[in-house]
Amino acid sequence: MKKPYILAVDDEELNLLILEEILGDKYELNFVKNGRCCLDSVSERLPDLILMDVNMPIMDGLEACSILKNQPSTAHLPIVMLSALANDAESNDGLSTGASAYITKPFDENSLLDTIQLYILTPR
Amino acid sequence: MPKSIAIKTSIIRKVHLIIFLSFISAFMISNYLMSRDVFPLIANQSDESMLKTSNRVLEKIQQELNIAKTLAISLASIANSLPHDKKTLHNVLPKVINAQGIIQTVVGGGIWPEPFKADPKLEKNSLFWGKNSQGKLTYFDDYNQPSAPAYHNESWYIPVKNLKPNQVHWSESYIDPYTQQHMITVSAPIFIEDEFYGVSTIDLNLDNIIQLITDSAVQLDGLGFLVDSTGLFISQPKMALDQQPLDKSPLALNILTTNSLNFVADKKLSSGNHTDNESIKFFDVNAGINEDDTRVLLLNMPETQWTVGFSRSKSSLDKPINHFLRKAATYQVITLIIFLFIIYFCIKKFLIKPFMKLVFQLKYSNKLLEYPQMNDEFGKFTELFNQRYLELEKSKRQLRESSENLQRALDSAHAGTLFFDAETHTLDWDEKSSMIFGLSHEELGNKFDTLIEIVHPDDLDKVTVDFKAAVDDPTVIHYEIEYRVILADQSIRWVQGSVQFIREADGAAISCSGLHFDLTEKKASEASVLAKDNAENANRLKSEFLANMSHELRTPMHGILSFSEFGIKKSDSAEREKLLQYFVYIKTSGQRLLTLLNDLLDLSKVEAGKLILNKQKTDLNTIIDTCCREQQQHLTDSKLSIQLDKKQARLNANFDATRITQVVCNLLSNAIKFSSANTVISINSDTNDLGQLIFSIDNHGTPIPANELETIFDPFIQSSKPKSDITGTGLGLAISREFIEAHDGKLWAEANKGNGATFKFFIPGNAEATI
Repeated sequence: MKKPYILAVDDEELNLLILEEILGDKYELNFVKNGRCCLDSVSERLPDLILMDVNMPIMDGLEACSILKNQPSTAHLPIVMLSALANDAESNDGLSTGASAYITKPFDENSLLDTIQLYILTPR
Repeated sequence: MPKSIAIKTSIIRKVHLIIFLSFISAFMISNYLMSRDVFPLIANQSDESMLKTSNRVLEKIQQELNIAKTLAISLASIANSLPHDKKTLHNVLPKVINAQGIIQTVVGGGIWPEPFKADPKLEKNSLFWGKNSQGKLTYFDDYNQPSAPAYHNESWYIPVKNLKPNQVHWSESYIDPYTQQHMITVSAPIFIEDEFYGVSTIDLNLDNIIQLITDSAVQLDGLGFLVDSTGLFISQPKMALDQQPLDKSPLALNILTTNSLNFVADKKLSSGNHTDNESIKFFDVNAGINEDDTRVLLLNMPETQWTVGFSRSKSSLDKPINHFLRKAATYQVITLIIFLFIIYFCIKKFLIKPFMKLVFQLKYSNKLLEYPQMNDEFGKFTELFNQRYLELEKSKRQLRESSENLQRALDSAHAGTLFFDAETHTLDWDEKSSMIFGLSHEELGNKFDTLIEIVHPDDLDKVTVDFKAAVDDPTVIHYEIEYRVILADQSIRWVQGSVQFIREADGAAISCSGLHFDLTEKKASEASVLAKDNAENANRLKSEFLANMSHELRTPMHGILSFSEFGIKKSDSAEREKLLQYFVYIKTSGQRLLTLLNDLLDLSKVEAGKLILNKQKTDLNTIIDTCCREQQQHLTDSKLSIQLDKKQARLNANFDATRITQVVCNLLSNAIKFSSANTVISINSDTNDLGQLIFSIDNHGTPIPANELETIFDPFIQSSKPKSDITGTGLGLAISREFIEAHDGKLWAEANKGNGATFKFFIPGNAEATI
């Protein structure tokens, strides 16, 4: 069975390595370094879910999220924000752009997997 | 109170004067016209009356003469036809001569035959009748007496011999020796059978004629005279007689030589042969009969060669003229006076009186009474005046209201007014202004210097130099100034002055006026607001810093926690390399965490003044190379290249290598972060004449707004522009600047001409360059 395709967006390489470690077996992963690259990638291939960091150069996660949510072709994509910004205000900012969930770093492996599974049909 | 009207300018006085002058000039003009046109008319009438009188006199004389002439011719013809017996002649002749007594002036007449003609025996044989003293015709034969001289040689006889029938000869005038009557004799020839037989005569009494002339002269108020053919007076001028009493005998010619009567004789003689038309002549004689300018009229009688003359002295002409003039002038004056009085009355009643009434009203009230006759010009004047008065009152009221409103507005704004005269350098304030300056109105006065004295020394330049510059700058119309004054109790008051300039066309200031406000409270509240803002800003910065720290701490913490978790989970299953990798990641994250903590420590040290520099002779270029190497991966990732421009091979100086390396790496890291892809980062290093190390790095990418070139060096602050691109603590530049300043150097940022920015620093340190 084909693995669900997840697009992870983060400028910190270490974060991407962590995601690879957690999700690499169950999902097909693609990593990009900022919001701009994310949009490019989405236009090439629609992922089943996007994991989006907030603080990134060139284009941050909030902007990329709101662009995607405002495009009919991508509005349905579940987007999970992953950020080191831990304030309520910041998580509200993230959710207000249309993100499905907001997870603060450092996060628990299981809670990430649960959240992803909530928004994606995964083969069990 | 208006001053009273001077007599010189009084209209009423002018009206009086004009009426008086018109009276004088009208009188003079009419007099002039009369003398020009009326006098000659009167003179002409005088001539005409003289002529008329003369003609009447002449006619009368002619009548008398004709009677005498007719009688003489009748006598001649009777002598011719009658039988020459004495009886018949004595019967008929007296009747003819007497003419039935009708003609009183014929005083005698008769027939005087040639010698020995009527009677061959008698040489003298005249038949003559003359009127005696009783007026009765009586026969005289004295002439026939032998003792009497022969009449044939008389002057009235001889010329008649040569006459033709019906012609007569007139004698000279003479005084009859018997009757003492003034007479003339007319003689006619008697022809019998065409042979000269003798002479018939008629004696004419001239008294009638003389009386006529005298009467006429009296009538004319002049002199009259009759001169016969020889120049003797038949009737002489009465005045001359009075002056020169003469006997009644015909005047000799030589009498005329006295005075200018001589003239009359001359004229008579010279005009002796003139025709009838020319026989009437007027002459003007100077120094005439009355030693006066005289007007003389001479008429010649051709038959007798007499001259009738009348003279009038010119002064006698003046009499009627003067009379006329007197009357005319009287009427004139009366008419003029009446006329001018009516005019004066009208002017006074219709102009001056109503006008004076208006003046009087204006003297005691602001408005004019609207009198009943409002339909005349004064009524219109009153109406318009009152209309204007009401308008003026209205605008006065509006002005007062707006002035009060303005004053209320000024009061509510606690504003004082000021007026500055640029020419006299004086100020005019209101009470409120003086209150603002804490002085009484008198203390403040109007001198600019009084203000200068209380101005805070730090603001003195503003009030003097800056304000003067504003006064002199033609482009400044509105000027505002804030300054402090020191009040009497040494408290400080902030004052704001706001003025508007009035300038000449060339820009020179005439004056300015404006307002003063007490800014003390506003300044105090501004200061508290600023303090509050600063506190809030600091608080906000602290929150932001904490949020940033949280983010920056969480990232490496996430790495450490995640990879340690993976290691724990997979310690049995995972391969050895995998586990090793986990540890490497954990270490990297730990180091990053440490760096962050070190940064925080550095900053707190610097801020606490506890930074200790470890200065050693170090090469800056080596440090630059080291930093470039460290950032190589980032450069490659961002597709950037570095252009190193080392002026010297080595740049040795005394500085803390660790800190300067931090600075260079931070600047390079920033340059990479804010550069656009495929651009070049230039790095320059050199020394200058002062022995300072100079370093600059410039990139092309996101620009820094001009107002942030300084604030980016504040702790926790990052340039607002590339907010979304930033990763970092926001401490880098703050720490870098602290490090450079700790070396007594300076770090600053400049905006690039294109995009991006240039960061420069210099540090003194006895730099030694080695090529």
